[in-house]
Amino acid sequence: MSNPALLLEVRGLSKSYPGVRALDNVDFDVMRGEVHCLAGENGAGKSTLIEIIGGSYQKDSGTICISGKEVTLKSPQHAQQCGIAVLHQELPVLKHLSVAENIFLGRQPRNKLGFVDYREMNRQAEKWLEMIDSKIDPRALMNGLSISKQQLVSIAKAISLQAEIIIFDEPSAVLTDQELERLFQIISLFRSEGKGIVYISHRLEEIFEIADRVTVLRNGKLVGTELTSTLTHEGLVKMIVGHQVSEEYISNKEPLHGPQPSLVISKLSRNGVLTDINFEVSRGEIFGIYGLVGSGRTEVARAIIGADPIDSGNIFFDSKKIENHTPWQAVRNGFCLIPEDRKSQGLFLEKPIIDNIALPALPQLTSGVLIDNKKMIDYSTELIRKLKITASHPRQYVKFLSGGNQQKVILAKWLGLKLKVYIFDEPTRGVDIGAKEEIRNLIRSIAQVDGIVILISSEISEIMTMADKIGVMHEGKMTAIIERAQATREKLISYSMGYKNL
Amino acid sequence: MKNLNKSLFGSRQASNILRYGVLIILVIIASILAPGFLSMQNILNLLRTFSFLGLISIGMTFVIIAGGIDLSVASNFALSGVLLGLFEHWGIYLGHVDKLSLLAPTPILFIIILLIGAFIGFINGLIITKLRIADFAATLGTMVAVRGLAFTISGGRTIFGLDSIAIFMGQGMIGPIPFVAILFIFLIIICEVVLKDTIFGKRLFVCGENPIAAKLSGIDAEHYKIAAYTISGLFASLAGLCMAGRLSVGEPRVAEGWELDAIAAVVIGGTSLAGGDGSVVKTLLGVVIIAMIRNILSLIGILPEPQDMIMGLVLLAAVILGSLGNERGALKRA
Amino acid sequence: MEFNISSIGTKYGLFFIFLGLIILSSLLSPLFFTYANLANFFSQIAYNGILSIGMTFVIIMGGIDLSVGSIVGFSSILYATILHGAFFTFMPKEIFIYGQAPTLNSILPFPFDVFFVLFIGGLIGYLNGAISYRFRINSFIVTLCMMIFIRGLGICYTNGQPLFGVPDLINSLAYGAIAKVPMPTIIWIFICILAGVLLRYSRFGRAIYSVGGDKNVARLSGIEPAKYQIFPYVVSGLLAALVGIMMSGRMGCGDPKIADGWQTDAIAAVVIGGASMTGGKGSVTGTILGVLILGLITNIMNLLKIDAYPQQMAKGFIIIGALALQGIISGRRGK
Repeated sequence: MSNPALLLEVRGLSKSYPGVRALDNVDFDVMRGEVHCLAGENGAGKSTLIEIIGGSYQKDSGTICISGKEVTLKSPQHAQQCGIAVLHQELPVLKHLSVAENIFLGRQPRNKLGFVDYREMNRQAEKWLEMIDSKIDPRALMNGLSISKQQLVSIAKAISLQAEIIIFDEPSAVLTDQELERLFQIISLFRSEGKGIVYISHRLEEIFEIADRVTVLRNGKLVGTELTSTLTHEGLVKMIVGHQVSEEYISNKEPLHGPQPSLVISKLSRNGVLTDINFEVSRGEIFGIYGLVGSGRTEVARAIIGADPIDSGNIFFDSKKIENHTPWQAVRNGFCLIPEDRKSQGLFLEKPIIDNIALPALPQLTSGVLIDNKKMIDYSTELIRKLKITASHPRQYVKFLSGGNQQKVILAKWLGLKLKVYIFDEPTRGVDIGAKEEIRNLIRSIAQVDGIVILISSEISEIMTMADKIGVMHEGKMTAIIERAQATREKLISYSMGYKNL
Repeated sequence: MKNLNKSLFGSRQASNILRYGVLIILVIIASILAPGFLSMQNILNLLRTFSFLGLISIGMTFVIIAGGIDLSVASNFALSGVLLGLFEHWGIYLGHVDKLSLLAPTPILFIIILLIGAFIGFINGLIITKLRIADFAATLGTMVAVRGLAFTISGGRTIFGLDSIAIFMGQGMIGPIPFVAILFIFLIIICEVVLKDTIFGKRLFVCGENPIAAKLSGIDAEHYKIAAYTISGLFASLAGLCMAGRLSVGEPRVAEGWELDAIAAVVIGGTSLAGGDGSVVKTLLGVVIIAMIRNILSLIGILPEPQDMIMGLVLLAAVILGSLGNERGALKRA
Repeated sequence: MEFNISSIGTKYGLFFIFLGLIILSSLLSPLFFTYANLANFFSQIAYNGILSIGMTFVIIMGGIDLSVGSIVGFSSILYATILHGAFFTFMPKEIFIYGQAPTLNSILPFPFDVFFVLFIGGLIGYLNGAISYRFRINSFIVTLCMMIFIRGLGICYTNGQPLFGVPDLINSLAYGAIAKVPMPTIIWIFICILAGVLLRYSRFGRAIYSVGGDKNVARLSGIEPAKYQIFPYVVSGLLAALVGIMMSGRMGCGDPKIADGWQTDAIAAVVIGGASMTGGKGSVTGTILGVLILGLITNIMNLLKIDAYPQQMAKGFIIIGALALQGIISGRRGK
C-alpha cells in the first residue's frame, strides 16, 4: 500500500488545544528527492504540523509513517533518530561553544582512550560544512557568526545527523539574496541525494522557484496539495485565502477632519529590522498594519513607542516632531501600546484589576501626597463599567480573568487618560468571539472620538472590517499602503508574501 | 469577599495565620524554657535588638519588593558607625581617646552620614541597572568593598567615645520604651503608608513584579529600582548610627552576617523574593520572630554559631515554603 | 591580535596581565624570584586554587556556591573529631588539651577517615544542588543558608575550640614537597589536570557547558539537565572538604572557624578568569590564571604594606570590575 518513494506519510493528523483546533484531520506526505512547500496564513497550522513531525509536540490522533513504518515520535531526539531534522527560525545554539561543538552536541567523537577528540570533531564538522560550501571555520565560536551562518551550521548539523527529511521553517526571512541562492543550491543537492525537504515559506516567488509540490493549510484544515508545475500564482493565493465573500466595510464615521494627517511616520529605520517605514494617519482613522509573523509589524509599533531604539526616522504629530526615546516618554507624549503578549507585557497578573487600570493615571488620583483610594476605586469602576469588564469584584487579581477581560483591562488603563495615539498589537488574539466584537467596537469608538488608532493584526477579516487604510509589512518593509476601498484579501496576502506585481 | 482571589487568597490567609501562630508558640516556648524571658529587662533588650535589625529590614523590604536583594546592608551599617566615630574625633584620629572633637554639630554629622549611606545604596542601584550585573553579585562586591572601607578608615580599631546625642539614639529611652524602638515603629508606619498609599509605592510594586510591563505602562523601571537601593542604604546607615550610639563606639566589626538576618526577616514575614509583593508590616512580624528565636536561643545558652546554624535552616525553610506556592520560583536568575 | 577590551578578556589578555603583575612584583621585591618566596607563594594560593576549581564548575553551570568557606571549616573540625575517636557527639570537655599532642584514636582507619570527610563534603554539595534544582531556588540563597548552617554546625562540634593533633601524613600534605614543589601545589595541579580533562575532554564535561549555557538547547540534543545541574555542587563541596583536611594538616589542628570569606576569593578568581555568571562559559586555564592574578595582586598589596582591610576593599572592586568587564564583552559580541 505504501509507496517506496514516500519518506514521510502523515494521515489524519489532529491536534487541539483548549479552545482551538490547531490541526484537523490533516494529510501530508513527502517523497524522496522532493521539495514540498507548506503554505498558509498565520495560524493556519503549519508550525503545529512541523512541531509534531519534529517530535516537540504530541499529536492527538492520526498516523505518521516514515519509510513505510508507523512511528510515534516521542521527543525531538527520537525524531532525529528517525531521520527527521527541523531547522527553526530561532536557532537553538550555544553561543559560547564552537561551531563543531554545536554540531556534535551530546555525541562528540572520542578517541581510543575515551576522551573527546577535538581534531576529529573539527575534521568531521569541516566535512559537513564543506558539503554545503559554507566556508565556516569549525573552531569559530557561534557567538561571532551572523544569523545566516548560524543557519548554515544548523543545516550542517542536520546532515551530520543523517537526516533524510529536513524541514525548514521560513529560512529565507533572515537571509540576503546571495545567501538565499546558496541555500537553494544546498536544497538542490539534498534533493539529488534523495532527501525529502519540507519548506515553509511566505514568499510566492520562492515557492514556485524551488518546490515540486505545495500543500496549503487553512484554519488547521488541509486545503489541498498541488504540483507547482500546474499551479498558477493566483491559484495558490486563492487556496490560501479561500473562496469567501469580501467583508462589508463598516463605514460608520464621517470623512476625515481636514486634509492634514495628524500622525506622520517618516523614514523609520532600524538596522536589520525595519527599512524606511513611511505612513500617515489622520484623526479618526484606523490604520491597519497587516503582515505575516516576523514581517516586522510589532517592531514598527515598538519603534514608534520607544521600546526599541531607531537608527533613523522621525515621528510627527500635528506637524510637531515627537521624540519617543523611551516608552515613558512616549506615554507623556500621548502614545500608548497595547502589546501583543498581554500577559507578560501588558498586565500585572498578581495585582488587582483596580491597580492595573489606575496605574498610569495615578498622578490624577491623589489628594495631597497620598493616593486617594476612593478616587482610585471610582475611576477604575467607572472604566470597568464602561468597558463591561466582567469580574467577581474590582479587587480580583487580573490573572483570574478571561483573555477577553484581561485585554479590556489593558484598554481601560489607557482609555482613562485620553491619549492621542493608540497602537493595538493583535488585540483580539486568544479572545473569545463575543469579547472580540466588544473590543473591536471599543477600538472603533476610540477612533470616533478623534483618536488615532494603529491596528496590527494577522487576521485578514479583522483588518478588512476595521481599517480605513492598510499598510502591508513584508520583511521589515511596508510594501504597500492600500485604501480599504481598493483592498482585497488576495492583494493583502500577495503583498505580505512579497509579491510585487499587482 | 473571602473567596475573592480563590486559591491564592486562601493560601495567603493561611500563611498569615501560620506566622502569627508561630509567633505565639514562640512566646509560649520562650516563657517556659527561659525563666528570664518575660522579665522587663529582657523585653527591653529584645525591643532594642529587633529595632536595629528592624531598621535594616525595612530597607531590605523595599529592595526585595523591587525585585532585587541587598547584601551590602550590614557593611553599610558598620561604615556609618565608623564614620560617626571618625567625625566625632576629628583631628585627633587615633582611637582610644576620651576627648571628643566634632567635625560639625551632631545633627549635621548624622545627615552627612545618612547621605553617604544612601549614596552607597545609589551606587548599588546604578551598578545593577546600568552595568547589568546581577543584584546579588553587585551587592556582594559592594559588601566586601564597603566593609573593607570601614576597616581601612578605622584602622581596624574601635573608636571609643561618642557624644550624648548619638548615645541617646542608641541607648536613650522615652518613658519605658527605648528610643530606637519608637523610631523603628514610627518608620514602619511611615513606610507602610509610602508603600501602600503613594504613587511611588504603587509603581515600586509593579516594577518589581514585571519591569517590562511597567516600562510599557510608562514607568521608568530602572529609576525605581535605584530608588529602592538608595532607601536600603539610607536605612542601613540609620541603623548603624543608632547601633554606634548603643555601643558608644564606632566599630567596623559590627553586624557581621546581619544582611542574612534581614533577608530572613523579610522572607519569614511573607514578602516574596521574586518581587512585586510584600509589606513592611509583614517584615515587622518577621523581625520579631527572628529576634525572638535568637533571644530564646541565647537565653537557653546556645552560642552565636549554633544560633546561626538554626537561622540558616530557618531561612532555607522559609524560602522553600515561599517558592512552593509561587510558580516563578524564588529569585531565579536575577 | 587586535588590542581592545575583548582581547583583554581572552586568555591572552589575562596572560599579559599576569606577566605584568609578575614584573611588578619582582620590581617591588628583589626577593620575589627566590625559591623560598615562590614556594611560599604557590603553596598559599593552592588552597584558593582548589576551591576555585570547584567554583568553576558551579559558575559554568550558571550558579554560585557561597558555602565553600564553611565547608572547609566544617571538614577541618569533622576530620579532627573523627581522629579523636568521636563523631556525632558534641565533644566532652576532657579532650580540650592545648599544647599536648593527644593520642589519636581514630574511629576510622586511614584512608577511610579522609574519604568519609570528602564524602560528607560532597554530600553537602549534593544538598546544595538538589535543593536548588528541585525547588527552583536561586543557588545563591540555598548556598547562603547552607553557609550559615554548616559554619554553625562545625562550631557546635567543639564549642568553637580547635582540636589539636593530626597524623604526620596529613601534616605533610601542607609542608611536604615532591621534587621541591610544595605539596599543596602538587595537589592543586593534580586537581586542575583532572578537572581540566573532565571539562574539556569528556562528553560529561561538555554537557555541563551546554546545560549551563542553555538548558533547552541541551535538551534538544538529548541531554537531560538534572544530573549536570547537581554535579558541580558536589564537586565544589568535595574539593572544599579536601581543602579543609589540608588546612588541618597545615595548622596541626582542626578549626571550625577558618576559611571565613574564602568563597569570595574563589568567585573572584573564576570571574577574573573569564567565566560568565550567566553560565556556559569558563575554563580551568582561565581560573588558574585568575587564581594566579588574584594571588599576585594580594602579594603586591602586601609588599606595598597595604593593610588587610583596604585589601578587602580592593577585592570588592576587582570583583565588580571583572563582572562589569564580562558584561561589556558579552554585550559587544551580541547576546
